[in-house]
Amino acid sequence: MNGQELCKRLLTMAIVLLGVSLLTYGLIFITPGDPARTILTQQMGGQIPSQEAVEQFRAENGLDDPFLVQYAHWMGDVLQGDLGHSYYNDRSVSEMIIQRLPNTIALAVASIFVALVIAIPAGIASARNPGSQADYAAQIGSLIGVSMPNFWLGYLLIIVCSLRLNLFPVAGAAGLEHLILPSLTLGSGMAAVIARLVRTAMLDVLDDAYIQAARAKGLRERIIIYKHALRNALVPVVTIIGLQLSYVLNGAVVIEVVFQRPGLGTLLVDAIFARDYPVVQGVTLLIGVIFVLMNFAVDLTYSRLDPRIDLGGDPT
Amino acid sequence: MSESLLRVENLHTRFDSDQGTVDAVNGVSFTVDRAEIVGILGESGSGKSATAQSICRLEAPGKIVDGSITFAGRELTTAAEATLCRLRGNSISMVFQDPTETLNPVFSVGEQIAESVRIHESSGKQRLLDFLGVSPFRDRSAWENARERAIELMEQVGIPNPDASVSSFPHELSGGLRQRAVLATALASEPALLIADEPTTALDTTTQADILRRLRSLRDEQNTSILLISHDIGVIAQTCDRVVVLYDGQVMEAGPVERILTAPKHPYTRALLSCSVRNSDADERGHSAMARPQDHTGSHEGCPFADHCQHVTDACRSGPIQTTEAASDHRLACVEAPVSEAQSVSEQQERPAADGGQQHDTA
Repeated sequence: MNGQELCKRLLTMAIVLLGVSLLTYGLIFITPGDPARTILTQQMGGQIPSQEAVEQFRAENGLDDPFLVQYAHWMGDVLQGDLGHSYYNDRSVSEMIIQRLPNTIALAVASIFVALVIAIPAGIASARNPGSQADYAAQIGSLIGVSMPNFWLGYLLIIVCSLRLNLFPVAGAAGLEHLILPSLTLGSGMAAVIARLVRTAMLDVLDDAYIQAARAKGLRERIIIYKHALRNALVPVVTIIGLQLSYVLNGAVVIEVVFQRPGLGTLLVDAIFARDYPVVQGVTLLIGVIFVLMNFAVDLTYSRLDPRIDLGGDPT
Repeated sequence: MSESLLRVENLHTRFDSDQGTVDAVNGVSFTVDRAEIVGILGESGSGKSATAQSICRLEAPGKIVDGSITFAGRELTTAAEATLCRLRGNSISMVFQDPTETLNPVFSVGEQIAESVRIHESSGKQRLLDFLGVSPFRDRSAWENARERAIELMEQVGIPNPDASVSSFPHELSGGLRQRAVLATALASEPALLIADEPTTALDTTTQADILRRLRSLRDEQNTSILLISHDIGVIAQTCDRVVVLYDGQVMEAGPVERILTAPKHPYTRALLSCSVRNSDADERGHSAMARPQDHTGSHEGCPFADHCQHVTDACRSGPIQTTEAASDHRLACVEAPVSEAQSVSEQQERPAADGGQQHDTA
């Protein structure tokens, strides 16, 4: 990829992020519930706030400006690196995010790791002997994994592993042991999808002539599978992992609530309930940035995996 | 005959599918001596590739149901997978038809040739992480040597500028260079037997001539035995010492190339030859005339070519055809050919065009 292409990509990413932020800003704007009233009610311990107080709050926070003016204000601050402050306390949104982000990243990475560790061997086992018992077992497992809602699996794991067997702590995010159940919950659902894709991609690749040629070279089956076949089957798999990232981030919202992990997900959910708009906006924008960057990384991975894929887009 | 490097006897390879059973190879016997180039000639579907795959024991999903394959005194039909792995690419190498598909698109040509070098050297133990190239587990100096050897091999098969091409990916090379790279892969271990399955079909004529010349010099200089599979009589005629003509998984005629191609005795061989010498239009007609048996899955008694043969008699369909020795080292599976030989040779000379047309009508 050359410099010009990179600029083009960065510009596209900027436009996408602008769209994402505009959309979330707009969605919050039309959501029922008045942040001024909600917040003041809470601050005053459940009392209905007076009209003057409400208006004063709106004026202080620029809430009575027209939509585009509000958005422009916010965007202007963001471009200067300021995500604003929470309505409730004086903490800056970036500070809140930085505090929570590592937990969510740990969860996402661990989930993807769990997913790959389950999915790749399962998919390969299926593809090597299609129609065998191992294949059926993997396929049924996949079906269960795809159909099971992850919050339910989360509670199930808490009940069995934490409450009955006392293997893992129920909630929190202190150490590695707190990561196991959430990442299993989130990873298994992803594993189901990836395993099916690995199976299909491998079946496809194993029929290719170069696999037979590799056998004729005298290579062992294991090397043929993990070197020659898997490398070729990985391109669609990497694509789906990129797409599954949205699943991880969405899932993190639910899973963090289930396991009471302080992460971006819980931060976002709490902010939405509290109508804490700056926090909602900041977190959404960050998730958008992560998503766009990850997809960019996926595209870069393609050309690493398959030299025929040239991101330059120049057919000569 | 006992010194034959490869001896295939009464080989039956069967493919089971949902539509039924196909006997792709149906009682094929032939031998390849040391430093000999043997051609297998046949149309698509005649079982020539299935024969080649069976010799390498890569016939899956097919199954060898009968017969024996002896290579250098070792029986291959019952050999263990580990034994076969040591033989493949080492004593027996294979070159396939389409170099675009037989090279792995995601690894550089040099890596793929070097891999062939690495497979059979030293202990022969293949460690996954070494081959995957995971850095602390990769034997770097060994791979560096293998790469040097790959460059030598590339030079040997006539790839210009091998130092640069060694890190090219297959899609960056032309078809001819790719096939040379495949050939280099196959030659990495200096095999005793090279099986080339339609090695030049996907290439242009000049490249084809060059590759065939290299195969011959390989035999002349390194005493490599070659089994060359082709549908192209020209390729066989240029390259081979002996030829085996296959039709529907059975040997129709086998013998020295000069004799088979100048004085064929089997009606099928004659039909095949008469197709190839005409212009391309008639060529097509001829080929469609010799359409393969419609019911490929059923087993049939008698000669498989009977339905398309102009000399057919009741004897052709009544039972298995005995293979006879028309001359020393010239085998023939036809009940009618010896008697009608004189007649049909003159017929072939007199009205070459009518032959194909007639068959076309009956097809």
